[in-house]
Amino acid sequence: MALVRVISSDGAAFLVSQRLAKRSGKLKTEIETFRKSSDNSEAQPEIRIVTIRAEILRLVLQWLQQHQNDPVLPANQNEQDGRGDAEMGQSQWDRDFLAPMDLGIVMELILAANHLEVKGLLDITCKLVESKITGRTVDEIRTAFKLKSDFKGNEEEQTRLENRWCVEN
Amino acid sequence: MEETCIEVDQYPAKRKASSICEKNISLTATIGESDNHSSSPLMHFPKEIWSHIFNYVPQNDRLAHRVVNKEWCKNIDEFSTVDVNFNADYPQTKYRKRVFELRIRNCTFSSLHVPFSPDFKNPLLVKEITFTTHVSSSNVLKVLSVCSNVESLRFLTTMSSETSFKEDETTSNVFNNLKNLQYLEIGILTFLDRCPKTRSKTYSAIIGNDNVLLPSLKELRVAFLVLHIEWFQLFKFVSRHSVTLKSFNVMSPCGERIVGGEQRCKDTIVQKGLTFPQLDTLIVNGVSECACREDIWLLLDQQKQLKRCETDISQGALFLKEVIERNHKTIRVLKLHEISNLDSDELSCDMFRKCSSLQDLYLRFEWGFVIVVNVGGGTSKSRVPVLYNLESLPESLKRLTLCGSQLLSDELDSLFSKKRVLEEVTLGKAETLKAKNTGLTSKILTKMLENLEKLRKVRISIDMICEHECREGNYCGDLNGIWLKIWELAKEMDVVDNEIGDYEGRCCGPRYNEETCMSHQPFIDMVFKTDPLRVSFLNRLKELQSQDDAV
Repeated sequence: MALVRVISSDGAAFLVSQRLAKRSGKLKTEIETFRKSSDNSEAQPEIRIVTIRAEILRLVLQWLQQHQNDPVLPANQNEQDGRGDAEMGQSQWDRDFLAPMDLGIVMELILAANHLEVKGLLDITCKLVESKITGRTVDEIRTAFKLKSDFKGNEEEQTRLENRWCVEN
Repeated sequence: MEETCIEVDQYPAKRKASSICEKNISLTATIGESDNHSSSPLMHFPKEIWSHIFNYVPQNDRLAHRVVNKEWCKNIDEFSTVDVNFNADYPQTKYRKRVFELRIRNCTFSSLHVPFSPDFKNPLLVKEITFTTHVSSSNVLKVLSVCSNVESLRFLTTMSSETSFKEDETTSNVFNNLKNLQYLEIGILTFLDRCPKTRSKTYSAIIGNDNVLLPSLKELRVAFLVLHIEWFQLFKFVSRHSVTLKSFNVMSPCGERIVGGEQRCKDTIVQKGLTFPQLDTLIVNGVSECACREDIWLLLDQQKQLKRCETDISQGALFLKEVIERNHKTIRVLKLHEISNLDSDELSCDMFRKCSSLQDLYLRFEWGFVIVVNVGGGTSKSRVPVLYNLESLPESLKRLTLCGSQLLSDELDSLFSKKRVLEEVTLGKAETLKAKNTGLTSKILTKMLENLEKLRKVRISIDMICEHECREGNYCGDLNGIWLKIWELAKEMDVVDNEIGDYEGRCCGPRYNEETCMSHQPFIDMVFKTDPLRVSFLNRLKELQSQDDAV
């Protein structure tokens, strides 16, 4: 079985089958680039992901392994068309997978899924963040994401007034 | 085969990968970096992720959250799109400029009759525009000139507040520049009868303008009473767009009987060999009394890939059968009103057997041509067509409506004796003499509830209920016997549908069993919001039947 060595930013190496790795758009491109530039067709590619640490990379690979037989979703799928993909594609396994994670890990996972071009994982993690936003009050958002208001004077009121032009369709 | 993913070893942090390294890292920030504005990693998300998340968040929430903090507000404004309702009479005009700086996707304009400058910061993002009351033509043209990427355009005005377009070159140039326009709707909201002198100016300037050509037009909807001279204009417009048009939806094209001598569209179709290769949706109502129905026949006669067809063209069973035969692979929604002129006494549902994608079937027979079943070989007193072979209706059906027909109990029994995915069933008004062994019995209702596991709505006209089980005499509006108990049970279990519209709702069921209701045909309307509710109702119904049988 052809393998590829994927190395995290903090130096942990993961041996992954090329078939599995190619389910990530980014890793697929890197493997193909390696093949074109390498004289030895048997050589094992090695890819360093300098922005993703081991704990997160492990989670991405774990998710890919679980979903190895899913159809690959196009990364550039239209946003409007893509609405609902996350709900449709979210299995019980996905829910169990995400359940123990705190918001910080989820956000790292979103960045990793985006960077590695794993659309299914990106969908379910973005949907999880969305669930922390939709239906929440402004104060709840500030608490959940550790944010502080920096509006001054009547800026906040003015912003609210701008909203009156907009309607829910 | 399971794929391998093994963690093999730990590299020293500074060790470089031997063969290839990532290049051009595209992340805007690394998690854990400190930031002056916020400690949340969320604030470091790149644009595409914000867009992805906001794609799931409803607009009302996004707007409310604009006051979380300035950066959050900026992200919402820059990475999501909004729908704007722009009423120029709105008092907070000082915020107008700020609103047009948002990423507007859908904009509704009203009361825009004074000179206006459409200062959209992102005009090419605007995909949907609706013009409603009191919008001047010059403002319409200004908006459309800058928002040239618009895909959906609607004019919803009243006759008194219509745009006063001119059929000139400027108008056609602006419209012809809308290269991506896919949906065009013109609806005139008027409650007055129109006379030929009050032709819609919007309609004339767009539909009636021979120079207007929209290269991407897929859907056309004209939602008002079109006069016969306008019908010819409409047909010319449709003909110009025949290559791209997928959906043609026009209500009441004429509303009046056309006398001879008018220009006809027939020549356009027949002589020029006009075809509509993309057309899959044809919704044309109000033509049963109108000569232009022949144009619709000709149009229908050549279609082979219709997915949705709704019309009241009065045609025979043979024509109907041919239309279904040609489109049986694709048809999903078929709604035929005022079916009449049947060629024979029989109309078999066998014609629908091959429609494997059909989900919504609506058949309404014209008053006076309703079906009386001739049972046992006796002679019927009047010439009546019979709808039979209900069992052969396709299993893909989710909604079924049969109105103006009486149905054999055995036929209904066979229809509901097997598992189906039907979600809504309407057995509507017959309003005619009933023969023996026709209509719905309580046992058939039980079978319906038992076998239609996805059933959510049932609407039964009371005169569709089997006479010997329900009513005394030909007296609509009164229930008795087991059906009265069923009705009481429905009320007790709160499955009576209270959301039926007023049009027919005021005569829903015997709860309005007043003198005023007697001239109407009451209905029993039931809605099962959950499947357990259907099952509970079914069980109680079975108990009722056991008690009734014992008596």
